[in-house]
Amino acid sequence: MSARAAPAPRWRPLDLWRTVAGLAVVLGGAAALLAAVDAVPSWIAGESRDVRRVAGVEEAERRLRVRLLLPGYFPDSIAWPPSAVRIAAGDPGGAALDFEGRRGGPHMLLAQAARPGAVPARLVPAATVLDEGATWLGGLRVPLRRIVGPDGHVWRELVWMQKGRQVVLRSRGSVEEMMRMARTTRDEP
Amino acid sequence: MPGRWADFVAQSIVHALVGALAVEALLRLWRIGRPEERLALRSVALLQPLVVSPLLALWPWRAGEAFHERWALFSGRHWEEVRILGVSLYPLFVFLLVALGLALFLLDLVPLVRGSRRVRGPEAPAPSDLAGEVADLARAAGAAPPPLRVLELDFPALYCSGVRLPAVVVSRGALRLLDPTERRAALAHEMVHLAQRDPLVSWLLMAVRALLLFNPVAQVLARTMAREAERRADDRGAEIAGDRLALASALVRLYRASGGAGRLPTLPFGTALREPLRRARFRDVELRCRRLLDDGAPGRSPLARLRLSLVVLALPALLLLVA
Repeated sequence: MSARAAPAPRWRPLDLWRTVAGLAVVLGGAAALLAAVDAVPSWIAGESRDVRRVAGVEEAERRLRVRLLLPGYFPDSIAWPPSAVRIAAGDPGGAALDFEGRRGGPHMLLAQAARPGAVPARLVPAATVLDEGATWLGGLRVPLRRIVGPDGHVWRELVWMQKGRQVVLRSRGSVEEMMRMARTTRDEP
Repeated sequence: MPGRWADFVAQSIVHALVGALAVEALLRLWRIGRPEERLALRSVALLQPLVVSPLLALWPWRAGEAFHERWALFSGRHWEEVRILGVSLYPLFVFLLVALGLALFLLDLVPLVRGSRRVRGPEAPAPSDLAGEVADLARAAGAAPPPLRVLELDFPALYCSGVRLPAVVVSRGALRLLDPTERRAALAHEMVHLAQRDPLVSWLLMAVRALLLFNPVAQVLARTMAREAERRADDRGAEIAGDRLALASALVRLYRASGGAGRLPTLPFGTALREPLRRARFRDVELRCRRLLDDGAPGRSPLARLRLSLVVLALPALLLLVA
């Protein structure tokens, strides 16, 4: 007696349907499960799915492959390093640096596009504009607003373009302090 | 650079897990019972961390941030953001999984290196009727008649070994223990192993496990494939011997006579592992006997080749988006 392989059974259209549907269900289920597991870190951090928290400025620069714009002047009232660094991939992508004051509590937000374009809206929390004026920065007239931030406090917001990249600076400090920081903001170390 | 290695290791583990779970789900959905087909599909799952993951890691597009943020269904990197007391859980998870993979590999490697899996003893001349039976069974299984080695041992041992020159080894204890029908069924089982070149395959599997020693899912998958090879040998051996009951009976007799767990490996923490290993082996023998007693050999499933081809194409396509 020899152990020969059994002949292949004849297949019916139902078998083909079961084959394709089974594969589609498994692959679709796996994709959905993977996407759900991938969304958990953002869900824990309370961010939208394409916004990522990174360890620091260097990590943000490495992941965005761009040098971040940072102020040369940094007042003593603000603590370094940033309390949170968030990045958004895509085009143009961007980064947001949250700073706390030396006495604690949120004090400043510096958000910027990674490439020419506007700052991704998901990096800048929604705020209510109380009033809007304008000021001169590097020979250009730029908007300067007073806003109510998500924390309920009044902040100042300055928005300008630098090398085609939009920069948003929000601060609870003085206007003079903000302007000095904005004037010294560079992408060189 | 250590970060990139951690990324690669994590990706390999996730790829193996996704591949293994997808294949297990398909085995159930498609109701595939034939060990040959199950082995083929599981081999595809094992190929993912072995071949697909390294190839995908060479693709620069997948290393970029845009891929991780816009295209990846899952990116292990995102879990770096989850911190407890300022410590990222991601490297901790990777470290624990690597330690688990290494432990699973050593659990099989150490006994293999020490030679405790195989029984050794003085050899005796093989009885001519037994040699004739082995030759007949080998021909029936489609293998060349192998050399027969009879050991002068009371310990019941019956196995095949050897890669270049495979041989069947049987102890006097096993010959005394089994009645003629059980002996024939057990020898037929070993002949199927030889016909399928399972000793060589088991060494290749061990080599794959060594390459993926950091990957616990690959370790489990390789062990599952070894068990599936036993089921294949059970089915075809019982078919050759013409008696499924005799093979089940031989399995139980050999299991009982070998003290329940054969010669358990001497390992660090061996005492703690002894009972779980004994139970796992008992469960394995129980399941094999149930298969032999409850069912006939499962038939070929329809569209087996198409299904295998689809899985070969679909799994890497899915894993392309898993980083």
